[in-house]
Amino acid sequence: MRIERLATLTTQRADAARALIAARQGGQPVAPLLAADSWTAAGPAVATEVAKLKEEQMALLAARDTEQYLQAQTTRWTVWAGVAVNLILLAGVAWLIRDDHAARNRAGQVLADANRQLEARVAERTADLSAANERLKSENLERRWAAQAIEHQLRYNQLIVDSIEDLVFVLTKSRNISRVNPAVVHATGWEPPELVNRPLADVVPLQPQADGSLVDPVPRALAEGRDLRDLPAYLVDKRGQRHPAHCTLLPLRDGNKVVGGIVIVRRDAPAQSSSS
Amino acid sequence: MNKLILIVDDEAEIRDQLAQYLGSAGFRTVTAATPGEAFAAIDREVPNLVISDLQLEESDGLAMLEKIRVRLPGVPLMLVTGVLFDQAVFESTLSQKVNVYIEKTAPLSRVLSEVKRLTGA
Repeated sequence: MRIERLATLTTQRADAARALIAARQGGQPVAPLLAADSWTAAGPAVATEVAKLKEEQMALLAARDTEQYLQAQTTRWTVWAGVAVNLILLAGVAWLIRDDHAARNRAGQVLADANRQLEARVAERTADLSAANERLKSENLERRWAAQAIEHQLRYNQLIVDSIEDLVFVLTKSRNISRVNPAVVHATGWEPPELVNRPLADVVPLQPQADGSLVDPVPRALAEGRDLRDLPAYLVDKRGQRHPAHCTLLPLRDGNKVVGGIVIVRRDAPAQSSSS
Repeated sequence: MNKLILIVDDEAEIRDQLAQYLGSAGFRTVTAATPGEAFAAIDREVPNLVISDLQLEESDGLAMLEKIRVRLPGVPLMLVTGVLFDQAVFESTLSQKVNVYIEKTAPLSRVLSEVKRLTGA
C-alpha cells in the first residue's frame, strides 16, 4: 500500500523532473514548475513515505529478528532438553549396565563360592573315600593275614601230629573215632574213612584188668575230664589180628568243657608181644 | 627317603602281604625267598630292618639272621614265625639273636607298630 503510494509519489516527482528538464531544454521558465505543488509537495512526501517505509521495514526486521531469536531460543531449549533427556537416559542406561554388571559380578561370585564349596566338598568326600578305601584295604590285608596265619598254624600242627610215631585217635564224647594220624593207618591197615565214626573199642579194646573184670574206665574218665595213662590194650588191625599195646587217654577240653578225647596208643615191643 | 624293610619268607603270599601292608604305611620294601636272595638284596642296599621267617626252604631263618647281625650289627632284626615260642624261651635264647619275635598269628598292626619302633619311623 505504502509502496504503491511511494511509487505514485516518485512517479509524480519523476514526471515533474522530466517536465523541468524539458522546460530548461526548451528554454522555458522553470520557476513556475518549481513552485508548483506537485514539485514542492512531492519531495517531502516521498521522504516521509520513505521514512515510514523504512520504519515499517525496520519494525518488520525487528519483529523478524525477535521471531528468529525466539525460534532459536526454542530450538536451543529443545536441543538442551534433548541433551538433558539423553544424558538422563544415558545415566539411566549406565546405571542399568552398572547394576547388571554388579548383578553379574554377584552371581559370578556366588557361583565361584558355590564352586569352591563344591570343590571343597568333593575334596573332602574324596579324602573320606580314599581313607575308607585305605582302611578297607588294610582290614582286608589283616583278614588275609589272619586267615593265612591260621591256615599255616593248622598245617603246621597237622604236620607235627602226622609226624608222631605213636598212634593218635581223636574221639567224640561217645568214644567214636573222629580222626586218626597216619601212624594208625600204617600200623593197622585201616584207611581213615573206615575208622571214622567207629567205636574206639573196635580197634583198641582194653585188656581185662588184673582182677579179670572188663569194666571200661574210659566213659567215666571222659565225663570227669580225667587222664588215663598206660592202660593195657590191644590194637586190632584190618586182618583182625590183635597186638598187645598200651594206651593213654587225654580228655580234649574246649575251655572248661570236655568235648572229646585223644587216645595215644603205643604198641608193645615184639618180645613183650610174643611173651604175652 | 623312606625306610627300607627287607622281608624274607619262603611263602610268596606272606611276603606280598607284609610288603603291601608296610608299603601302604610308607615303608619301602624288598622281598627275598631265600637267604641267598636276602644277602643279594643287602648288597644292593642296606635295609633299616630285616624281617624273617624262622623256617626257610634252603636254610634256617635264625641262622641267616645271625649272619646278618655279624655283617650289619646296627640293623634291627625281627623274627616272624608260626612256630610258637614261649616268651620265657624267647627271652632266654632268641633275644640275644633278634630284637623282636612276633608270632604269625599276631595282627599286622602289631607287626607295623614294632617295625615303626625298631626303625624309629
